[in-house]
Amino acid sequence: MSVLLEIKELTKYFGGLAAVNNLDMTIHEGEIVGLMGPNGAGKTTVFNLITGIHRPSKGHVIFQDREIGGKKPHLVAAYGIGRTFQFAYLFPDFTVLENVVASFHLDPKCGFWEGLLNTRAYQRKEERILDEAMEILRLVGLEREKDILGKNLPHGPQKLLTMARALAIRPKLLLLDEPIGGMHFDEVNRAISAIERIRSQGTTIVLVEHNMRLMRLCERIVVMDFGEKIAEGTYEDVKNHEQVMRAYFGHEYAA
Amino acid sequence: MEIFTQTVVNGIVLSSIYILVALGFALIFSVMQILNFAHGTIYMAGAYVCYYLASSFGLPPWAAILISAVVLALFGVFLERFGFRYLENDFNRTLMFSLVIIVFLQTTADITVGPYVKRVPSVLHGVTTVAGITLSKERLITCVITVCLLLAVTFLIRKTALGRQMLAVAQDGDAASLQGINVHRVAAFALGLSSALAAVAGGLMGSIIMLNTYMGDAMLLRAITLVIIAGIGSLGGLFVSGLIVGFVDAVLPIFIGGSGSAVVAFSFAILILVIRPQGLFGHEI
Amino acid sequence: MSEKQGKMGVKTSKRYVAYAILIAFLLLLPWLSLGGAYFIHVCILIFTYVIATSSLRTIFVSGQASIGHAAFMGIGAYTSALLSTKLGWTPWVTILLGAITAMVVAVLSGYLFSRLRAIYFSMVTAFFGVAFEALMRSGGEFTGGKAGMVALPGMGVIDLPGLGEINFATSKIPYYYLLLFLTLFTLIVLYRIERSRSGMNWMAIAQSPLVASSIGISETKFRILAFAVGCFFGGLAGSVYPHYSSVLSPGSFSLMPSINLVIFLLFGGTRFFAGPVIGVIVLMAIPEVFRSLKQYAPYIVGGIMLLVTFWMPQGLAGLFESAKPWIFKMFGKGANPVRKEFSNGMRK
Repeated sequence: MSVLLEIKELTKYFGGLAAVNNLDMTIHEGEIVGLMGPNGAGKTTVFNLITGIHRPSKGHVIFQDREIGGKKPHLVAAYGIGRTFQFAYLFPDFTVLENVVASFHLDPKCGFWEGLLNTRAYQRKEERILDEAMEILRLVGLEREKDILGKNLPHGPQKLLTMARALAIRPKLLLLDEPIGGMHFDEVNRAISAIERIRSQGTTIVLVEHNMRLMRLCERIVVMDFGEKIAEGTYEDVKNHEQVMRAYFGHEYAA
Repeated sequence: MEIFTQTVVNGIVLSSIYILVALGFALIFSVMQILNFAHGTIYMAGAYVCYYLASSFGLPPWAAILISAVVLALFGVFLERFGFRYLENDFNRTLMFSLVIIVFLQTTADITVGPYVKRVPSVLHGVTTVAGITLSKERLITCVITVCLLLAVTFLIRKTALGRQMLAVAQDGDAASLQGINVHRVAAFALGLSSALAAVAGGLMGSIIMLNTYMGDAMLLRAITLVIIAGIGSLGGLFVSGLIVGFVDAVLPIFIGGSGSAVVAFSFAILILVIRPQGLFGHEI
Repeated sequence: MSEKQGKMGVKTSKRYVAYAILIAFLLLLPWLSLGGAYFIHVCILIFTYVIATSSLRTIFVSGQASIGHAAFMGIGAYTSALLSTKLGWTPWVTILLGAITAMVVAVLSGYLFSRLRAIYFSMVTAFFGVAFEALMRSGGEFTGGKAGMVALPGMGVIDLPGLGEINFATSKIPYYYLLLFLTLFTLIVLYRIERSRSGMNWMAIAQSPLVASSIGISETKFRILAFAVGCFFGGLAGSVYPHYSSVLSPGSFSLMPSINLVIFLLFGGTRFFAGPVIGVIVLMAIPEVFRSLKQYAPYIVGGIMLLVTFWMPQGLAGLFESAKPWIFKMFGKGANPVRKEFSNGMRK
């Protein structure tokens, strides 16, 4: 399997605090990797560093042999990295369908003049985008809610929508930040089947989650604490790892 | 030497008046999170009320200024109580409302007073000689009054309970209300205080320059310039930026004329906004 | 679903008929002798303001609240005036050049300004406007200084072989048609852009720049695009009027005129495309209707603005939208591009 994303000695300081400290991580094509750690471990910061929201203080982020550390977020998206956010950020005044359609911006670049003149080619492009958007909504299970405004969606579907939106850019690498956070049981099932379907289409996934059901899906798990990697391995390896337990439960429970 | 001293005095006078008005504007912005474009018109209204009281009722200037300040303070409270309170800090709506206030005040001024320029009688007449240099008592007393007021306001904000409530609301309105602070009441007080300060500035300025119903616009621009240069959230920085702009306005017109110095002052503000949006002293946005 | 389809089908043809009637009405208006030259003059003013306010709305749609739009009108105006008087070029060309200059300045300043968030952007545009006016005031001989410029050339005479000539100098009517044409052109272009992907991207960055960048939309690029398009048409509106009135003064492009434009816009509502049109017409009509009380007209305007501020946060256009759906739906629902396309898609 070829290497898709490589993170070397990645470090990010906020003031005097190292949110991410000397992190090394490799993601191979087609994998589904989990990123775990207690709150504040730096997991979301890693995502932000990859997608260009933060600039690395030190170290490298290399995607498909191209250095992307410090590049602007919209460029990173264009290279093929999609992400969701821990909080369900979306376009509140767009409907569910519009949210996804808007995300097809990168799809063969629709020109300014084409849109202005409403050419045949442009119209056909838009219709195709509509079809593909509906397909994505079916993939995540939101096709029935397509006309609801983003701000009126309940929390679970909102998170599914962020996933749908990230999928619309046809990413090679999908970063999911707590995709089932705050969902109740049925919604979690929907989400998990969606993730499995995405996986089967060949998209590489990195997953940040606390929920063990989701972690079981991962071939490999990386555990962080205080910005550093403290463990890496399969689900079984990590489950009983002493340092991991200490990080989550405190010293008394580790032994 | 004489011109030099007079220019310096002018600089101080302008600076202190600008700071007085800008302080009110910044206070409203910090506490209520709104850009009160009507602040300049309130300044103008204060000047005209003062004139009206002095000329129609023959009140001594200091009394006129005082009463004008009270009137405008009450007006400010009224605006908050029946206006801004219901607009929930929506940028568009508060902008519209402040524009409505401008329309009403400006029109009333145009109708009642008319285009004829007036002048507010001086608080103190005549000139005085200090160290062999002739200075108008007018300007000196203006300096004294404004400086005293600024010190008083600073004391109010730092040391009194009400002042600290304002600081609290300025930092985080929701948290402040959770602590039991009546945010609306604090906002009303801030608006009232600011309007009073603007009114005093108007009354004082009115005896130095001629009144006209559009004096508020220029003052508003100066106030915003000061706030931009000093930075959002920095009340102390206003003193520095006030001195800068005040002296620019006092000195430059001698060399490049009024419009020219305006271009300089505004371009400087633009520069600051582009390079360092948080101003010289403000906190990070 | 089918109800929506049905409405769509009826809506489209009804809409076009309504537009056709409206345009026919506007074309015939000058000949209906409703008030002579003064009436034509007011119409010309309205057209100019509609172009200016609609172009301002385009900027607002991308999340940028510009309070210096009048300055860009001024850039267009001064460019056109200077080129036509100093170099003797024909206004037909200089007007276009004026609009282009305004657009170029917008692109350049956009690079500087579009990084700024909300309030700071508004402030810097306000200051830009004020600085521009001060600059023109201090231009001395070159720009006419405080007094502005006079004796600007009109649009001249157009010879139509076989049909006679159109003489702009003898009557206001040719100017009326010129402005009508420009207004329709502007509205159509702005509407199309807004309904296209560019418009959708503008709304995306206005709602959430963070999300937009995560799907590949460059915030800077689109903000500058909106600013450039808006200022092009603003510059256009600004360059035409002085050739009609033959005078130009810096005071027309200062902060208050910019604020007036914002008032027109907010009054009519930014949410719907027709907002500026409604806002301008209503706010211009009031002083005219109450002409005898012209002094007090601002009070009435202010009163209505109060009503709009407190009870109609979506502006006057919002009121129309909710109050008379079946008639006014024909004006189009403005900035919601997918709705129409999506309804088409659903028929499959």
